[in-house]
Amino acid sequence: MKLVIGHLYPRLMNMYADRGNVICLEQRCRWRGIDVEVRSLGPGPLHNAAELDLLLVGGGQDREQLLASRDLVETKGPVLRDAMRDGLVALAVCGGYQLFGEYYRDHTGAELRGIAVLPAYTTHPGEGSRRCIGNIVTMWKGKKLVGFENHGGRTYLHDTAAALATVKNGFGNNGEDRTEGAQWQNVYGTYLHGSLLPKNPAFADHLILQALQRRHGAASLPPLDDAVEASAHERALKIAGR
Amino acid sequence: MPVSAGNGTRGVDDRRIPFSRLRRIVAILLAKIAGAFSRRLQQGGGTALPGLVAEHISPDLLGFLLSQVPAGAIFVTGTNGKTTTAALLRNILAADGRTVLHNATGSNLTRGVLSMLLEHTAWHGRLCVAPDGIAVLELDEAAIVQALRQHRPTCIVVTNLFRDQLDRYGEVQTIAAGLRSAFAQLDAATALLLNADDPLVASLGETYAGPVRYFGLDDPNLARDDIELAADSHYCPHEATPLRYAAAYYGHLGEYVCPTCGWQRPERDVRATKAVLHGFAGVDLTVSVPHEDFRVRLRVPGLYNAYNALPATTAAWRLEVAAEAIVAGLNATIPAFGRAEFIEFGERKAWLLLIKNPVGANQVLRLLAAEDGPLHVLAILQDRAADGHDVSWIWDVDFECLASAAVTASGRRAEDMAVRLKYAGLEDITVLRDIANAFDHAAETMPAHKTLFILATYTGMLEMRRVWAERGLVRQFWEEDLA
Repeated sequence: MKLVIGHLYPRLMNMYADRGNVICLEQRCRWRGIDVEVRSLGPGPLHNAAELDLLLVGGGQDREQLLASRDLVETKGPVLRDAMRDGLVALAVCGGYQLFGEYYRDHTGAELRGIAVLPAYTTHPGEGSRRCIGNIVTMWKGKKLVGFENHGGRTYLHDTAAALATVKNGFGNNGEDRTEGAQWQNVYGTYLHGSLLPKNPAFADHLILQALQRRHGAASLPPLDDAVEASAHERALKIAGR
Repeated sequence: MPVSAGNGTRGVDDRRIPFSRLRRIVAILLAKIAGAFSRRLQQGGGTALPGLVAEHISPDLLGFLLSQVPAGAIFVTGTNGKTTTAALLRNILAADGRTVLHNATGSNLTRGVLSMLLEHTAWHGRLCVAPDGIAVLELDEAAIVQALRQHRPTCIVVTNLFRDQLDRYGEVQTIAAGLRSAFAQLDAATALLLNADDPLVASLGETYAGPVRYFGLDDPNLARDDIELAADSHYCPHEATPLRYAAAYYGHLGEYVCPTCGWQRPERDVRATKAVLHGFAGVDLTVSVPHEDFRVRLRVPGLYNAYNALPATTAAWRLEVAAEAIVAGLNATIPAFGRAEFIEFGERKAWLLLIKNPVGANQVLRLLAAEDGPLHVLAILQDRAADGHDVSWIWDVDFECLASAAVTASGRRAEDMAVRLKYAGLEDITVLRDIANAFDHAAETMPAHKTLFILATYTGMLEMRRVWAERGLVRQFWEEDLA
């Protein structure tokens, strides 16, 4: 069995160390004897999108996000949208999450287009407004997710049912409606860094299993010894005050 | 701003003390009392508290005191290398026979600088310093903007700009924008001394009205094929184009050109033409300033430290210090506390290495990778304010090169470090959150002749040193400052 991981804009959207998500998926597959190939997807046309099983994108600086947005909307958008409609499993964090939504309106009112696979849009409440920074705990399918958020934009969902998780501690999408992230089919958007997946192995395995089901029809994953991950998860809960 | 209520009446009654001056005196007296108490209570040696008290009462005190430094001040800022650069420059100026005021303890906020100055200040506000006195001040990327509102230094050194504690400082581009607008308020009296190899830092010189001097590295033997993944600013500041690197040294530092607009690394006034790395023993460096070349043997290890000799030399050259003093100062400098600090305990040895951001940590790991394995490592990860609350950055550090090491993970976020190391392929990992226990465990499980390498974030480094000081292995950093 083999999975192909596409790492979208590894150099442009690399500011918040979301590379840990790629490392995590790669290792958790290898430890189970699943072959993994990681492809770096920089700016430019995307061929063979149908070969991708997992797609990851992280957060970048404002300037880099502008460049990524241009490439995503003008060049890769249609191909990626088709692949995601076809069930491609994707995880977009922070700036990447914003680009997977409809648009990002910055503090000057200028709009950055997204590829609108997630039913979400983001606005920046203006210069001088507080960034959403801190440890965060959310509830996803009855399980807690832990991470660290750091974003100026506030994201709103057309329907809060599309949220990925509910905020227990922290700001989440906008600090108002207790939603965190968004989901559409197998596409997930979130503000959680940390990196997210290594400290939330259940969520990591959820993504791997979805990818395996789609490509190879696998029904379950052999368990791993997650004692170290669990203790880091517990520690993060404690520090976040949960 | 302080209210100068006394000013209006000064001409009428000269015996009255102006309110701002009174305020200064109160600030100085209270700060001195706070400093005495803080030292007695062993709360960090009083390196920040007096300044904090003083600037609260008299917000313009820093500018007032700095204006009394006869030969002016040099501000050193940037992400990595501030403390070492300032130490190198201090030693060069000392070798030149000058009297140097220097915030050596690495307390690099305005309050830290103020605390240091207050130690040389009489109660009525007069700074007691020799007629040739000069100040070498390390300031972090936010504090320098505050300090520049009160004082115009003769030189500003910018070492580099990397991502660092994003929850505290913000994005690299934001920091650069803050520096740019602060520099726009200055004039020809202040020279900018910039790292030509860092595109973002170099671009600060383009818009500057006053004099600009550049330093950089020109040794193709040290170039890598490509910039590392943790690099931050490898895009042209003018075009939406990735820069092309003819040589990449570390992070986004190198010899670059924009393929679209042709913008490129500026000409360097001070260059390192050859650097030979000797692991922890130091670096042989050939430095070229206009009309003169000289060779030094740095006792600070690694390429990242060798880089710091360049801004220090550039500042000294700008101040017309003779080459002999520059060489003497560079040769004499040992690493600042916690930045590659060596201790021996019993038969064993340890190196304490500060890590605080991905680019800097990768440089430290490159030093370790050159040592004979298998390595014994203590990795201390903390998440206090001075470390940055977000520990995500460890996922951008290439710990994979430690795969065969035995590591003890420690600190408030020991478990996070353990997870990172597990996913880097390490198999021998022990988690002990308490730093003293972790140190003992790491030392006891290591063969007697081996060396322990301790990687620690800022407060972890301080805590490790506190444990050592209690055991008489080192002196506390504020005591060293007095020595």
